[in-house]
Amino acid sequence: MLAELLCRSNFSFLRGASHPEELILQAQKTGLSALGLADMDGVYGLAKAYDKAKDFEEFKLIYGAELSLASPRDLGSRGTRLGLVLHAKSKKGWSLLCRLITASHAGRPKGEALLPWAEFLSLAGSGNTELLALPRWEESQAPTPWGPLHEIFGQDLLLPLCRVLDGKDAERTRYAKEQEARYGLKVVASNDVHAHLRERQALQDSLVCIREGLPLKEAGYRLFPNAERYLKGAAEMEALFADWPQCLEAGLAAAESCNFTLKELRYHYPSEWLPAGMDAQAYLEQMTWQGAAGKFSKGLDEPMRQTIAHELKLIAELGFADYFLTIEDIVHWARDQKILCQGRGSAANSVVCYCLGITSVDPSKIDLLFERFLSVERAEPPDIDVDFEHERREEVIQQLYKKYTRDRAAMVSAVITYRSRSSIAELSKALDRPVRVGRSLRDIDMADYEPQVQALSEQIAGFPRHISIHSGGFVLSDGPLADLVPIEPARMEGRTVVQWDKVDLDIIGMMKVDVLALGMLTALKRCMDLTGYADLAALPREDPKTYAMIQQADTIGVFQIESRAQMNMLGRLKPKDFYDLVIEVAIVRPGPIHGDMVHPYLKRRKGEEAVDFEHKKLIPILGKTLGVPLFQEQVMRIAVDLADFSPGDSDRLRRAIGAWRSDGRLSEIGGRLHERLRANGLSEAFCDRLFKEIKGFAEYGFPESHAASFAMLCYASSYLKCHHPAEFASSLINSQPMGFYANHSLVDDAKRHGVRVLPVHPNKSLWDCQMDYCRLQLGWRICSGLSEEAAKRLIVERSKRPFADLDDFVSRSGLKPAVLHSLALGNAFACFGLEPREALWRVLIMETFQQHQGPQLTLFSQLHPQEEGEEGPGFAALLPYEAVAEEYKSFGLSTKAHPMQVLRLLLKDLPPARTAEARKGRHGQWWTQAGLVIVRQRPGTAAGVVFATLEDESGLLDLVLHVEVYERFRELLLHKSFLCASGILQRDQDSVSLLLKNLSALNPKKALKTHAHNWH
Amino acid sequence: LEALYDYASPFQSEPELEASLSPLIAALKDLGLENLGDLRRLKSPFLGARFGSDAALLLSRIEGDFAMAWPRFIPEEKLEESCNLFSPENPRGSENLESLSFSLKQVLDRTCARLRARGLRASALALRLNLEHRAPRSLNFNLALPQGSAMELLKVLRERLDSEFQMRPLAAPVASLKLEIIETAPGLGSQAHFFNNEETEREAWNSLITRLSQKLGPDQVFLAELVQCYLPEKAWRKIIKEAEPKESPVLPAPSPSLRPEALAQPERPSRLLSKPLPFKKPLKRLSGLERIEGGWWEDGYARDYFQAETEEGRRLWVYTQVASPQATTWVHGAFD
Repeated sequence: MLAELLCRSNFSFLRGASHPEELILQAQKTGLSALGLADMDGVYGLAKAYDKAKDFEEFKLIYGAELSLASPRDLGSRGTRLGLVLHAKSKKGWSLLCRLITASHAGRPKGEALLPWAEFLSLAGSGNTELLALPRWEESQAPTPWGPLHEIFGQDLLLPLCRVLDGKDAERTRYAKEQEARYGLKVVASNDVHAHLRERQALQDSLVCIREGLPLKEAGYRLFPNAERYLKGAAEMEALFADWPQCLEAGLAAAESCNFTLKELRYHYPSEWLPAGMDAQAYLEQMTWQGAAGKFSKGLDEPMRQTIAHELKLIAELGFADYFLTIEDIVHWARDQKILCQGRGSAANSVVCYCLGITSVDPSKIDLLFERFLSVERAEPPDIDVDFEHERREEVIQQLYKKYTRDRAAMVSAVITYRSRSSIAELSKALDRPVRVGRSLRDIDMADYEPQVQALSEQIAGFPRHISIHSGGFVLSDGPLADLVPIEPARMEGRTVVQWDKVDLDIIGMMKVDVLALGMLTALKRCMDLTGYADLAALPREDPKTYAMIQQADTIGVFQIESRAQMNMLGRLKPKDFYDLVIEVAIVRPGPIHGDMVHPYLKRRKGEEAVDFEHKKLIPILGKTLGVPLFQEQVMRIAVDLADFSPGDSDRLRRAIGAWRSDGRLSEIGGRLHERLRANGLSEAFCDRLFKEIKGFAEYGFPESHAASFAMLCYASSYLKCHHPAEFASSLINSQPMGFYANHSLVDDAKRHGVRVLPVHPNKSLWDCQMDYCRLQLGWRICSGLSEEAAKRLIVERSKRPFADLDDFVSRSGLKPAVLHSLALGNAFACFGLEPREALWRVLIMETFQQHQGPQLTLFSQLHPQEEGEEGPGFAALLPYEAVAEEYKSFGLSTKAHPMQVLRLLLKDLPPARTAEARKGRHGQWWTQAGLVIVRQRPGTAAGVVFATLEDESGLLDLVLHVEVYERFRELLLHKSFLCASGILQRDQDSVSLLLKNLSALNPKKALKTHAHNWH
Repeated sequence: LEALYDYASPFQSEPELEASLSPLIAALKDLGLENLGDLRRLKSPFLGARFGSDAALLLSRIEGDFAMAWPRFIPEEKLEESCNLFSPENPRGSENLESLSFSLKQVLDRTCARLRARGLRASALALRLNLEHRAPRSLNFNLALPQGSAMELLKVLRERLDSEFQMRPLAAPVASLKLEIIETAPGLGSQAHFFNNEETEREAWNSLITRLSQKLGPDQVFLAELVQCYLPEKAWRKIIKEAEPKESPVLPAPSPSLRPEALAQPERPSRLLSKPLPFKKPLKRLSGLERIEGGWWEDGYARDYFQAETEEGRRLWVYTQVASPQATTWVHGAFD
């Protein structure tokens, strides 16, 4: 029997050398009856420790944190930090601890904490009996205020005594005895634990060096003198304290008095907006049925009515009505502000969410699984993620803070962890070994490093590095949030985060709302505003022309299916209805690809392979996907129905999928799944593929419901592209940066769809691109170097009267010389009747004139611009290729021509083949063509194969490079834009790609040099 | 057009002008100009109006209208003093150290005055003695610490020459000598201190160290500096340094009642062996153990130290290896 009350985990950030879970396991293994975990300035690791400790009934985890306390002023050394370890004895104690930690962070930069003594006194009060207090007296530079602390904590103030064999143990004991006699303190034995095993000394020392930015050789006394600060068992501690066993007993007694666990945290959603006399559930039901009446205008059929009733019943049983109402409130507010939003993720499984307007997927059209979203057995909070227009999400966030105040709303944190590759540079520095600088983390070859560095980098992998903000997760609560978990400022101005990440909140059972940003929603909103659609629901459904376009893989700019891999799949899958789009969105993901599920599915779809089911129980599960599991839900249902997993087990499987990188849980559960499936008569091959797929899901997989939500946006964007290409292109450019393609690809694509694109015009362009009678008028936003503010000033000036000529433009626009220079060369002043070089010649003199503000320019020039005359010295006109290149430099695109069109005029010996012809070529045909490389990709799922997209005036062609070909042409592919590619055409239905065999660079610059320039 | 860089700065003496040229060249290229010929066709006022007077200046240089001045050549300074030892009073030159010292003193005075005027001190010097009808003798002096005082330098030089002449007496009288300063260090200030003789003391210290190193060998004279390392043999290192300038008086230490609870460092022996020795005789353990483990990134060490008493009553500092406490006991130091 032994209790350890001083323990730091790796959540003390570069101070402890073990994960909380490792400490719990080891404590249990060595027979400790209680462990008090207290990390510096936070409770970051406690949820994880709690989750692990739940497995051991006999073992007690004590929940604490180390508060950074400024020493009281009257004892000198003002502002010196005293680490005060506080353990919660009760729920009240926990709330106080959270408030103290929150206060210690408040108003300080991210990652720093120090609580002034006076504030500590006012929060902790005197005669406190809810917390155990153990000052880390030895680490403090200032004297420990034993007297004042004793007044506050009384008998709960403990003096921790460590015996770590560093030659100071006798001195420590003498000090402890002195304080014991003076204040009547209880002395408790501790080993000041920093790691679960003594073997972690090397890692512990390395962490110190990373923290201090010093090599090990120079770290000196910053390191511990020995490896003794690990979790020792009862026998070892008894031997160390043989002369004073009462210290061990006092520790045990103190541990006995701590009876709080995180299980006790009760959390309530805000509910202040409920109409009088109504509880949350009744209000939710009212809202749902009202919503249903609107959504199902043709009347609710009986099965749907039953589904809604079932869902409402389940929500009532679990008490989540508040949560649904909160989300509805946010969505409702956003719609009032005309912010486009849509729920994603598993929420799309719920009809209630659909009726409340949170999601847009009509559940009657698609067979979804509500239990994936919410189940009585799991009894865990549902997870509703809502996407908002990316440019307006900040409004939603600020509204949340405003409505619930910072006491009741905070964002979820995200723990940034070390990966073995990312830590290697820091470890090499600590060990004073050479650091090899690579272009990216991928370029780091672990084999280049010494075994010692390698071993340490493997150990440090998964260690928390710092806390950051989750992309959009919010925690809201009815009462003060700081009573449940400490809140601290994040690096971003105006943001506060709770000290738990989403996994922790899941463990504790706290609900979060994900307020996410999606660029496509911004683009869709803009496009619908231009085309007169009120919202997504107003777009015509299942439009055949749109599907015809999708089947042609004509999807540049479309949500989700615009990538090279997706386009390739479109040609093979040929989606013909909404559910096909759901599959399309989900199939090009690591899950199905790793599980080798893609080819069987396509073959079955084409009728080349019979649709058979290995087991009759698979028919209802895999029927929709022709017997091939493609979605995470299907795998979970297979686990339940065929491997006799309980839904709880299956949920553990889902969690293990999410966390498999960090621990070995997945192999363990996967092994069990495999065994049981085999026992139920499924083939070895099927089981293997299933397990591989599960691993793939862990990397990045879409649940069906999520794919359905995304497919909605995919359809909407396809429809708009198909019927309103000009408005669509304009909206995409106005919402950049987003998606895969740069502006020039979007504009070229629009031109291929018959859109007339007008260049930037000094007297017409606004900041955004806009429609000018079916033509796309480009806006100032595409000009390089031009800020929105400057453009707006220019527009205001123009509104007084249009710019008459270039001189007028230069003098009134107030643009910077570099921008004017760029506009001149990009031919923006053609409307004033000036060629680019003439315009530049004039711009240059106007600049100098303006700089000097007078007619006396310089010693050598007495000319006023007007006096020089209209005629310039006469410059050679830009060659077509030069003109396009200059436009690209100025605007990132050209309205005149595709670069390949003009390059063909310059380089006469280019192969004549075009992309459009390649699409008609036959399988296996040798093909050579030139083009502009616009996308390069090396997906992790493709075993080293590299993909690139070659663009010319007629469209796009996929290039496939096998590893050896890639290695040969790596430099060319990465650094050259214009390439001539040769290889073998590969065709699978309408999907065509070029298996590359040879690559050469085109050199327009060289060609330009040899071209004669006639200058008059 | 890149030739403009050379026109702008033929002697690399106008880096600012050179830096301002890149935008000009880029703009000229944007206008479609390719070479200086193209540029010459532009009229100077037009060019100046757009690119400023520097551009017009360049054009006139290209036209040959405007020649550039060559930059001034400043040779590197060499501190050297010499002295002719022949004189009507001393027609034979110097034959022994005593008489040589007078000349040496003069040369050193002049050299040190020049050094002082430049705010420098000597840290290495070369002495050349030209002998009558014989090959000259050269000596190099690498001073352990820099010197600025002629008196102190003379002591250093004399001692070295003394031992040099004892081993290899002068074969002929010294006709002339030349002293050259090879390396310098910053001086202590051009004015002597008003209120104390700190400067003189520091010079004397430097001279003492230099003379001792000259006598005993460069590695034999050093100060011991503490190093933060748990391993006792690596807890200090040899250094050689100048005397520190005197600091203002330190504030009194805080009263004992306010002192933090920093624990006293464990006691260390007054004498530490440079290498631990095995100890086989019986010992009586006196103190609790102090375990030091670390250095895993190099050779690694893991020792349990404690104080022990020999039968004769001597207090020793000994250790055993953590892995094998029963094996050899090593003695590493002794307490007086």
